[in-house]
Amino acid sequence: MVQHFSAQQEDILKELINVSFGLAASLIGDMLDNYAKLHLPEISSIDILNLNGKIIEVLGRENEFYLTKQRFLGSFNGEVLFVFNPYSAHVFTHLLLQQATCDDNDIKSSILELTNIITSACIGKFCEIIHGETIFKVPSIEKRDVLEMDKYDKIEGYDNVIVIKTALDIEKENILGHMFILLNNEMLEQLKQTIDQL
Amino acid sequence: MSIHYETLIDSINVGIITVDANLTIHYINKWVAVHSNIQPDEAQGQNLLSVFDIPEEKLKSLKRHIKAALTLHSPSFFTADANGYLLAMQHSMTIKSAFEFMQQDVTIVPYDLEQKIVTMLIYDQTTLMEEKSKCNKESAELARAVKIANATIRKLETARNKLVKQQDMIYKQAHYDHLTSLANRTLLHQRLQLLIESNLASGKKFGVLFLDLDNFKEINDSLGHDIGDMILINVAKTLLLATRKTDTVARFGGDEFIILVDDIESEEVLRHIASKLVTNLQQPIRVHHMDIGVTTSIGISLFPDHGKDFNQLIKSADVALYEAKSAGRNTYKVFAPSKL
Repeated sequence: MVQHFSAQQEDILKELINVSFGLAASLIGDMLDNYAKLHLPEISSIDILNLNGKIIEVLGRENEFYLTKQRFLGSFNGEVLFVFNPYSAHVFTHLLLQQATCDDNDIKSSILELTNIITSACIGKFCEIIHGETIFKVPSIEKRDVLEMDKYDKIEGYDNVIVIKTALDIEKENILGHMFILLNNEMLEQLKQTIDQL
Repeated sequence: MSIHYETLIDSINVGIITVDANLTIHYINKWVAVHSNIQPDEAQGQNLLSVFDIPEEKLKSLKRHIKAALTLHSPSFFTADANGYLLAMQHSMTIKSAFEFMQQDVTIVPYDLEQKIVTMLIYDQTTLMEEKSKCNKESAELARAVKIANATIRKLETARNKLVKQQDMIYKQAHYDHLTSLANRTLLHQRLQLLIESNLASGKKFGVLFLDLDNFKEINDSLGHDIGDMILINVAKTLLLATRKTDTVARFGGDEFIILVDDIESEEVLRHIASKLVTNLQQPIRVHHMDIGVTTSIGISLFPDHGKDFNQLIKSADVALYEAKSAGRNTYKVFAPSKL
């Protein structure tokens, strides 16, 4: 597996993401009227060709999963994906809506709220450090099945993926998700150069 | 050229509402006014809830989105796909729609952080969602049709397998002896015809061995038909073991058997096989703790020397069999034309 960041760059990246996660966690805690903690993220980077394999790997035994996608355009551009297993998605929805039963649309809208906050905090931070401008496109969410990975449209236009494991602790629940930041070579290089200057 | 922003904003196909954190409306554009049957001037200063009926869960979600946008200084999104609509507005569909209200993507962007004001940008996604709903319905119908087709295919396959089994059974009943499972007269006739046709063309020889068990009637009469049947089954097994797979072993009737031996060099081969069969069949057969001795006589005819059709060949072998019986049984004879 390709490792795009040096140990030092990875440390700084972790620190940056941790700051943005702190902001996101505070907002998530607010919206849930509860204490929420986003763990110190685990970060790795892979080649875009290994994206599907990585998604299957992070899901473990699960076949079904929720996938959100959101593009960001401008001087800093790319795409953010989130993967949640059905259990985590359901637990978060239940905590957010406080309803006895939740349908698929409830889960989708709740997960979009959550990922919107994490994406804005994280990509906003990256934009801030590289002094870039970006606009976010409308996100989408769908339920997918690992067994039908070949049938879905391939994502094109990116070379690298930053994989961030996000573990959100709320009450006694641990909500696990994975964030995938898709960047082309130029954007990744720009991010690395900026990190080196910090 | 001076730009008239109000004219510009009123001409775009996007709804714009500016509200603060308390949901007080500061501005709506013409698009929102048209789709909501309200006057822009009347809406200003009113609470969003007095203009739009927003269910409690959606209202909570809207407040969270506004807070997220103001805190993160970043847009926050409602999607038609997950939420349907946020503000109940008329859609502009002129055909019967699956949706009562306009399906909306709503983007909430910070407008004034100090005053805690956001702008809501509303995109009509009804047509898109209508298409999506139609596609989903068609996919579901297609999946149902595929399921029915697969079930029908499975039923047809089961029926076909049953039919094949029945055909197989009918063929066996028509071509094989039910007691010994050897070829019956019908199949013997077909095989012999085939051998005649192919060997006439190639000029090769084949032999017909006509077997008759010696004194079988006495065994049947003294020990009963059950024992007789078991002896016939044993004899059939012995004949199959002593011949090649390419040879045809048939039960001709009662205690009579016929073997077609294809592709032979000379009469000697047939003599050798007949001698072996006579010896093998001499071995006592154990039935119900009894060792029963059975012997056989064999008549041999040769194609084309002793006949060129079914009847001739069988008749010649039968004549030779009679000779074998006359010679004291438990032996074989080759047809001699002078005996006719």
